[in-house]
Amino acid sequence: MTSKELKAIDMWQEKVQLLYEKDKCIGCGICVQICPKEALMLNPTGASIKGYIEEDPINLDQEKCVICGVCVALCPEDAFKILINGEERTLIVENDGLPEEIKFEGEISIDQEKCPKGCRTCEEICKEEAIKIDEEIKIDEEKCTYCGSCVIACPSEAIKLKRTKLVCEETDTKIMKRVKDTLLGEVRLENMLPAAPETKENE
Amino acid sequence: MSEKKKEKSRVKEEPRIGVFVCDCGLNIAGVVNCSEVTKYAEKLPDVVVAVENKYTCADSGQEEIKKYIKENNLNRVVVASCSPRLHEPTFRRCIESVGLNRYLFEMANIREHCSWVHPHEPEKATEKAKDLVAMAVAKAKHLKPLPKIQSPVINKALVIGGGVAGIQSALDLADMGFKTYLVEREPSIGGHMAALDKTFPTIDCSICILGPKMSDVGNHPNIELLTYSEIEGIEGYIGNFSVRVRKKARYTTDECNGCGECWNVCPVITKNEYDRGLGPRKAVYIPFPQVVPLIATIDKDHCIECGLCENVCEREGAIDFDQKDEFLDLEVGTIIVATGFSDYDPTGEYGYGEYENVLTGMDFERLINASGPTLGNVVRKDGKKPKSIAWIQCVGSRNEKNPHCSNFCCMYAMKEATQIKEKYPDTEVYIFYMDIRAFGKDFEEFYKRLMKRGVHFIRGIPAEVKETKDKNLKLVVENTLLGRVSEYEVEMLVLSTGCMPQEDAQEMQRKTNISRTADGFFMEAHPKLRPVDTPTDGIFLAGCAQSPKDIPNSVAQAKASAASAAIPMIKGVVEPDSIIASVDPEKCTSCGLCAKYCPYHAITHEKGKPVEIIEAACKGCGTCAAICPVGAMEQQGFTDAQLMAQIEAALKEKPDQKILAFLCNWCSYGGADTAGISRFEYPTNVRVIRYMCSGRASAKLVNKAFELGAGMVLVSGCHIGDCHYIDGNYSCEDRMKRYEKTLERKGIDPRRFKVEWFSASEGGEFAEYMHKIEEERKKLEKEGVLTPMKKK
Repeated sequence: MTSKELKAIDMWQEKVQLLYEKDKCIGCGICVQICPKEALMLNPTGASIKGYIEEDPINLDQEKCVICGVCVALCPEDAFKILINGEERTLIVENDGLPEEIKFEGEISIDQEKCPKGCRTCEEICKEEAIKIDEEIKIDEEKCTYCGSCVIACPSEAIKLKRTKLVCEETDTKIMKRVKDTLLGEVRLENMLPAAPETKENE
Repeated sequence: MSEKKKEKSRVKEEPRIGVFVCDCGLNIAGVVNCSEVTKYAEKLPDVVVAVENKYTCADSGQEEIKKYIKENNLNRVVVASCSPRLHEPTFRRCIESVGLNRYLFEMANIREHCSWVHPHEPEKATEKAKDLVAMAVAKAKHLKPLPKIQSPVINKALVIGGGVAGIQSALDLADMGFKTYLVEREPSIGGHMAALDKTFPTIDCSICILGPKMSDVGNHPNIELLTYSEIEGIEGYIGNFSVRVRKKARYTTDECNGCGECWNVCPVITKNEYDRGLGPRKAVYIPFPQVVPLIATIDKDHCIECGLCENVCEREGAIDFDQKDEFLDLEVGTIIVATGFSDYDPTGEYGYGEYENVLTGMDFERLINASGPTLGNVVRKDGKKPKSIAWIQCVGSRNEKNPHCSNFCCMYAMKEATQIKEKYPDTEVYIFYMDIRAFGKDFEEFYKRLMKRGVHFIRGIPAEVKETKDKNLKLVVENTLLGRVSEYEVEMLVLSTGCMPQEDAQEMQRKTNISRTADGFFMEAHPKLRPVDTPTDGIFLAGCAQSPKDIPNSVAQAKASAASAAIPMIKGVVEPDSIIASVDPEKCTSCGLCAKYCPYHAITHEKGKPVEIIEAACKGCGTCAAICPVGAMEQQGFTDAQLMAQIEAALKEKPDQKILAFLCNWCSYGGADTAGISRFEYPTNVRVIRYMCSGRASAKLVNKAFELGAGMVLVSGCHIGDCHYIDGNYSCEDRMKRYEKTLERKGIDPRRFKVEWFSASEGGEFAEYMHKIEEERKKLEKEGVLTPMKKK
């Protein structure tokens, strides 16, 4: 599998790189939602993963990204990695800012009425093969990891998913709190779109 | 009779004017026929005596003035010599010493504005000199004695910039006992010098000699160090400046002791600006180990607020993510501007930024520095030791765009070459140069020693640099000593980049109200005799902010400006010019316009009562005098009567052939002086009326000029935004725009009226503009539209 360099900080004898493997990416949008610098943006994930469009599921704004490694730590599929002088390292995990592995517990439900039937995007996108579509959509909750990629990809908001709990060795840091505050709760596409520009009323 | 009474009685008498015409050696007399001017002056009304001197400003000349004042009972003196910006204070002191009020003096600038700009037209220059003398005499007739004003000096100083110059100035002032604020915008003081490895010609370690001075600053009881802080604005005048400083939030407090736990755990790596981006730092960092103050800074652009630093920090309250920018208001008596320089950015030249083994001199300093990104190992980007290194001199200096010599690059290149020869003797070293300028103490000897070590000095600047497959650099250069074109291949290339003005020098210029020379560096009050002063009293210069210079010269200038800044603080009082506003309460209609437009809020207005002037606050711009609709306001020393008399004298003969230019003392008059100093010639028919600020320009004065039939009238001041009286030129611009619209109605072709701005450094622009409007005047003359305005 080939990985792509999203950003590099190239110094005289040292180099820090952020790499990304599109083939691993499931378009869940967790990275987009958690990025502290709001450097990641979502593309139409279903269309991207299915190969209808050339764009990757996510885009990176190099100006904003500081290669902090939060996306690396949170990505459920390990689609990101940081190389420091060629060696794979994630300082925010090494220095106990975030746990090595984070999983979720949650609830998922389908509004069969809303499903247009026949698009099968959710089924195709789910890496865990937790979704099966026959007459109607069926979810195998044993297999579901509550990543949310089906919610993001569904064109008709037919899937409701709520993350209720983190399963990990929690650290006592601000960034851990941010992970909880941001990622627990209902997964909604709106939360991953760029915020509306500030108006005077908002201030 | 007491001195005062004597003075009063003298003034009450009919004007008795003495005119002193200076030859200035051949500076004036080489062009202007000074004897003829003197004879002409003798016949002017109220002139009792006219004398020609070889050098009026010299002791002998001054003695002559004093002698004639006494013998002829003179009560007004006119000196026709150089610019009043240079010698007005000298002559004022001279006449004061024999009991004449210092304001009973006027100057005619027949050098900068005449002989120096019209060297090829001696006859016309002589005619112009006569006019200038007549104008000064006419004004002198209306001069009045003015009382002395004294204002106290706050005995605290501000030093802007914490490089070696600022550090030295602050230490000297603090050692003299003055409370000194040192403001530095970076997280630490130290400036460029802190980033150097060794210094020439002694090859001593830069930080080892600077470090102790930096910690002295940090520990000095009289120094208040404000790092990571910037100047927001400066108001006031010598003795009494109010300075607003923005202390940028660094998200750490004085509780921080720089232990380093935080940056060990910080997960964000970025380029260290201090290492010129060649090495890393964290988002929470100190730029280098010897920082003063030893406090970490959190770079919010890179911080993700993960909280790891907070968790690991053992000092309570040392990290504060809620910190906001703070504003401090300082009151100081004097200011030293030591804002330094910026490195020339050669991106795009000789492959810099494109070929990986092309560096600047500053980059090289970091590479060879033991605390730099490679711990002092000079290696290429690929990690290999270069077997050959070349330096190219004068990159970004001594070319058409930047004609100035950056002063220290020859020496630093040779110093770096010496270090290479010491560290890696087998390395082939080339220096490509135009001239080697080794002018300082022990510099030439240093150059000779390096030649003996087998460094190749090649006179010629490479025309082309190409990267080879092995990432070497191929240079094509004409050796101008041998007249031969050769090719060289080296494994590393260093560009000896020069010294440029700070990128935001213009902003600092605006805040401090000082001028810059054409090269963009701050301008000294006089290039020889007042090299550390600025034209604004109470503000001084040190280091590379004024011009490129090496460390010893920066330190010398820093010590000089500290001594100069101390003078008014030791005296405790200054005597500002008495040319302030005065109001005639009989005439004042209490409209309040003057109070509204006064840049200094120096006028109090109560409805129904005549306005009052706060003398201590008035700075003498004359805006109120220009604005007053009933002529109740006057600026002393620049009254309507005085300026009108000057205008009349200027336009007495052939008015339509003349360009009457109203120029402000600080910028446009200075620009005309610069034209003189630089010998930029322009038409001889320009007659200059000086006011302190273009705020003084009134419709009444311009009307007068057109009534008398002036061919062309120019109203000029500092560039908009650069006014020495805050916003006098804004009000001038406003007023003149409105005035321009009335011209047609008054039967004046609006093309005869010009408003234009010049800085004191724009001598060339001034001369060029004068040519341009003279061409236009000639065209209008042919059209037959240069007729006088009809009087109401």
